[in-house]
Amino acid sequence: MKSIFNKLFALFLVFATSCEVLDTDVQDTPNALRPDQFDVNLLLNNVQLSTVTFFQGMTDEGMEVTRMIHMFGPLYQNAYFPENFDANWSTAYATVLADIRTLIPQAEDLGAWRHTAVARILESYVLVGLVDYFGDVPYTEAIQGSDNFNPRADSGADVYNAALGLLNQALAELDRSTSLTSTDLFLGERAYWPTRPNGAAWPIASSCVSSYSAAWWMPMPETAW
Amino acid sequence: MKQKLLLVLFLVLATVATAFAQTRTVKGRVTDAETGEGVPGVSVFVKGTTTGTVTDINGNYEISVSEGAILVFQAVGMRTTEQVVGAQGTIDLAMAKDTTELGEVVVTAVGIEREKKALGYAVSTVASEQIEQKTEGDIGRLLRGKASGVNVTQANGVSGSGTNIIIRGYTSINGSNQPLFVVDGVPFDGGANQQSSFVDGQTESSRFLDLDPNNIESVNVLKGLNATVLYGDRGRNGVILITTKSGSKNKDLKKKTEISVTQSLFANEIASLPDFQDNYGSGFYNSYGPFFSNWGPSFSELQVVPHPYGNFSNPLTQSAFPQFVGADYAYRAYDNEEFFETGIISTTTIGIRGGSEKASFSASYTYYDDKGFTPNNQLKRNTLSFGGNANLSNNFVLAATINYTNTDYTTPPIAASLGSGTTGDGASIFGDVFYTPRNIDLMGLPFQNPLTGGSVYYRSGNDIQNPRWTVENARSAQKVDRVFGQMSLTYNFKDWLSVLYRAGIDVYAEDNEYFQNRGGVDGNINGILRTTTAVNRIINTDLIITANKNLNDDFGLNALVGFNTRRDVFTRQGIESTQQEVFGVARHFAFKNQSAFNSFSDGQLQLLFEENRLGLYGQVSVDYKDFLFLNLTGRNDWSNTLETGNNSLFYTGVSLAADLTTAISALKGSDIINFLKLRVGYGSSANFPGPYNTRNTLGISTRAFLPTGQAVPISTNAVANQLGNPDLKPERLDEIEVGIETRWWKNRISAELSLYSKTTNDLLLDRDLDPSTGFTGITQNAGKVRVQGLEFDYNALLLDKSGFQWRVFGNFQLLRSEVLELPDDSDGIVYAGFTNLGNFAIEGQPLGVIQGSFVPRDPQGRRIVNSDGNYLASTVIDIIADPYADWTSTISTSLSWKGITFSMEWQYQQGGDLVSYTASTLLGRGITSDTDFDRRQTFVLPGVQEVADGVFEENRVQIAATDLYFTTYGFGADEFKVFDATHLRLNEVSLSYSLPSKILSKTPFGSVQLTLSGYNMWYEAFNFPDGTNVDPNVNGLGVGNGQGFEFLNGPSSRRYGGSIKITF
Repeated sequence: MKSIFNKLFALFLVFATSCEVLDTDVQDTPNALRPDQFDVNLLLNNVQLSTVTFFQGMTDEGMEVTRMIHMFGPLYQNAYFPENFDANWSTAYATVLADIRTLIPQAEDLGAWRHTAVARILESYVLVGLVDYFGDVPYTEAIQGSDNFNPRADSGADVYNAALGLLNQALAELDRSTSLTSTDLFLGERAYWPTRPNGAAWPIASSCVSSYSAAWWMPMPETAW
Repeated sequence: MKQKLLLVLFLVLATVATAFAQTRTVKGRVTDAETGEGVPGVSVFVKGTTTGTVTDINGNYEISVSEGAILVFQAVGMRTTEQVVGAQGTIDLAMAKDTTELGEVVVTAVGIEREKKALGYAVSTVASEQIEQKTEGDIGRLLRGKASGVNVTQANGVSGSGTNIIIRGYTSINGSNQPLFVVDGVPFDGGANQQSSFVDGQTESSRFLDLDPNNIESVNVLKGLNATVLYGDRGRNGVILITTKSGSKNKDLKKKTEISVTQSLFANEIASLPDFQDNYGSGFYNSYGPFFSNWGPSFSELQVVPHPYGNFSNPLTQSAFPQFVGADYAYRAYDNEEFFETGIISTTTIGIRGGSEKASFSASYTYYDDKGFTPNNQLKRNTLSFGGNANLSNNFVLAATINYTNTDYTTPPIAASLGSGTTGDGASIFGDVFYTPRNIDLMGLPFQNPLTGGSVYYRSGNDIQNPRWTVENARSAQKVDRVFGQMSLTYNFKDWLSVLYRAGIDVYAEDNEYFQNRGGVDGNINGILRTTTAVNRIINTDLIITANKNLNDDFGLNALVGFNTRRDVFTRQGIESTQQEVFGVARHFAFKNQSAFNSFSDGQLQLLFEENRLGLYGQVSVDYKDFLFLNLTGRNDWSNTLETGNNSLFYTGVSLAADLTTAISALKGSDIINFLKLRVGYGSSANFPGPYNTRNTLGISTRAFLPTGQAVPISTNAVANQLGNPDLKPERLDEIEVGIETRWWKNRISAELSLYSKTTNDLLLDRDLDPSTGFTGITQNAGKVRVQGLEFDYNALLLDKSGFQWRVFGNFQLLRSEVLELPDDSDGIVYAGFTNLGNFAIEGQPLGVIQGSFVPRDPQGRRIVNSDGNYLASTVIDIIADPYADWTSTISTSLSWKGITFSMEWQYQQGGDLVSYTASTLLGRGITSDTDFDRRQTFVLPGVQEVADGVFEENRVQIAATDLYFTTYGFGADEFKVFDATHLRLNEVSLSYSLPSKILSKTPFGSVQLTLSGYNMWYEAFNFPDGTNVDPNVNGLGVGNGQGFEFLNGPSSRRYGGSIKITF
């Protein structure tokens, strides 16, 4: 009996029209790149482009409320929905901040200080924009993937402070010589980036931080998360 | 795993009988009493012993017996006979068919035929008479209403569009709920390769459209998990087992060779055309204007208006039509119904069957040409099929089938419309045409700019794409070449032990084209051409060892062990071009920009998916005294879509069936209760996710942005927003089913009742994540869904007297769905439709409950009206509709006398909601007979106004007819788009005549049959506004898990005509 069974199994393998089917190991998808295949230049390009998307998205509502552009409604009750800011929140965190977190360690290793500086400046810009609109937003617990599915919000003042810290760090890095040149979609030339902190040029005055109050914001409708 | 395999093998080997030394040998031949042909496979055994044998291909057998022993002859479908062994050396037997028990034989898993009474689960059978010579060429749509528990919904009535088949409800949120198609024992891909979303454009066929219904011998639907365990995880949603004529053994060997020719001719019309009113034309608030809406003055008030083509805001467009500047235009009703056509459907089938006891073959060719009611919609299909089986001399049986299908399908593009044209990236032929204002002469006005070739239509901004321009200048097409078939070799070791090896292949190449000339208004106005070629390959092999033996007088054993390999490879290549340089040329060389991405879905056109599945399965059936049947099944699956450690799953099934009429002597031979069987079963299955969900990826966009002054665009990398889940596991499904099968009154009435409860654990959920985690989604195992239901089938021969027969048969089903559990931090998960109007999974609610906007209520539940007298529309969403029917039922009746048969099939659905943009838009635009009243009157909406904070007073503000219908019913809160879809339908009616054999005996013809038939001849959805004529057999979300929606993309068709079938 056993020999017949062995013969059968051998016959089966001979006839099996595809041996690839016996492979049950998971493969990486051929339809996308692996996370370790990134290039800091390309990630920085995406950070710059996505910051623009963030700016365009966030300022729409600001312009409507200040009557720079038309507010569709036709009633105030119908003008805005909870999901209005979904795309902007997603761009800020899942695109800009997630890409920055990925590129900075590699850029530091490579000595690409121009990259890290630009990334930190744009991160601070996005953070300030988020606090301006939403008040308390996640920062210290953010961008942790499966380690933290519900990041808690930090106080807006803390986030402003963190943004200031990022700017100072970026300044220091702009002074260092760099091993890689980056594509700069905003200014194109190194000369235009400020080399010294100039109080008036910074978008965040320290007075903003000290007088920060959560009461500045009207209650927003609950977001759908 | 090894241990389980050994255990099953041991069980098989343990049944090997040892031969006793007997006194002498008896041989003989078993023949069929009717035909006189030898019957193979008859079990011949000595009563009271374990000695037994099986007749060979010619019906011969040889067995060792002692004198005075009793030989028992047993075969499926034939009456068991006993013969005493006397002095003779030869005992021949003519076996009669088993008419008293009507032992129905059905095909079950892996192609095994069993007697229905031995089964512990529900199987629905649809015979070939119910599916051949029909007006529909789509096997899925033909099954609608034919089997309880099987829910078939078409995407729309366009010829060639997709079809959803849902058996026993939805049990997966993000996985597929469509059943497995198995053709002649081999899996067959029946999916729809939809490339863009329902918003941007979706017309693709379901690939089971490649099956020719005229070549189908029988369809068996395995509904419960107990029935499908042997098919592995892909059978979890039910299995549709199709046996083609080429793949079946020719049982009717009366004639040596039979040729049959069928020719059908049907007319195909639109069934859901609204009833248009003929009193009012375009405008708003009873003032004339060439607008979308039809709220203008009545035709008696105004006769002449400026020609709508004389006032284009773009002077270039106007320069193409100088003749209309300052011209007059008659303001009256026009016959725009002529936009739709009456298509012709023609089917020609030639079939040949023949053979002998040793070998038989079957061949078939069908040409199917289906022109739809929409201009430029056509489906052409050629199917060629050949199969045969042969009993070779050395105990081998060889069987093979080979099929080739060529399907050619074209249609104007179809996409969702929200009542003001399409909202997505693509055009839709139905987007505007149903609410064309009554005074617009759609068929008479020019639709094309003679200078540029672009679309031109009546609004001054020329911002509606003329439907006739869409017909001539845009299309979505699929051309498919498909080859599928199988070869199997069976070796009969002994008469009770055999081994089968079967290899099957299913390969198709699908050429897709999406095209629109430049000059359109919807979609890409500079022209777009997207061509993709998808190749799908399924290679499936099975090795099955079967043992079939009577252990002794009381116990019989039926066991099998099998090993299955299946490999699916899907590859797709494609290009999308935009900016057409030469009008009318639909080739990539005539376009300026090429891209590797689908601009509608932002997805890549080049794709590769590889999936491997290995399965080891076994089944043991024990029957006791032919009335108690115990069945045990088990299968272990390995898949390459999950990380090692999670990629193997074992599941089982057990069932028990008791034939009470054989067991209880009081019922034996009763004339009233002929058959009563109770069955109970448990089954389980799994759902492995698709490949590539367990790991993170990185995105790349090589042409992300072109900075000013630069020649080369820059590229970007982006950390993908989907978080991979290495701990992903398969879903697990469990089901318990109980049933009763019974036959009464000399088998004239038969009924079957099944109750089931099916639960899915570890649901695969595409969860949204808070983007502040750095990711927007992840696939996780979390949640539980349950479906419980009841299925009832019946068949009653009410009258059978002097050649006149009246039969009533049908089915009834109801099911209840509930989401039992969702992750704690989840209020609801939207998985189909829009995020603010779609199907949701919400704990405690049926899976697929619909949420949308509603009118806010005051504390007493009254609707709140705003300051101008219209209802408020909420900015948040809540549950507004439940797409599940309370119950559905099909009743068919057939009357026959001599050669004439008249039959009707009625289908009824009670309950179930449909969010219908057709109904709401037709009302909102004032186009149908529902709004044919004196529009100068005013209305007051029932409700309250908030006059002060928290203080509500009854509403007294008057509004115009335009406000009521346009602002509220048409384009207000989503709750007004919800309608109860209770409906009654005359699905099929037919009259057929078979020429009597007396006339034909002098002719070369074996039979001649003439049939007149109609499909979807009448329907009424009672709760829809009368003039809208909405047909609830529609799924505006396409093929998938969405249900209960229709976005002006779902007209249905009515078909009628005749056919003739001749056999030689």
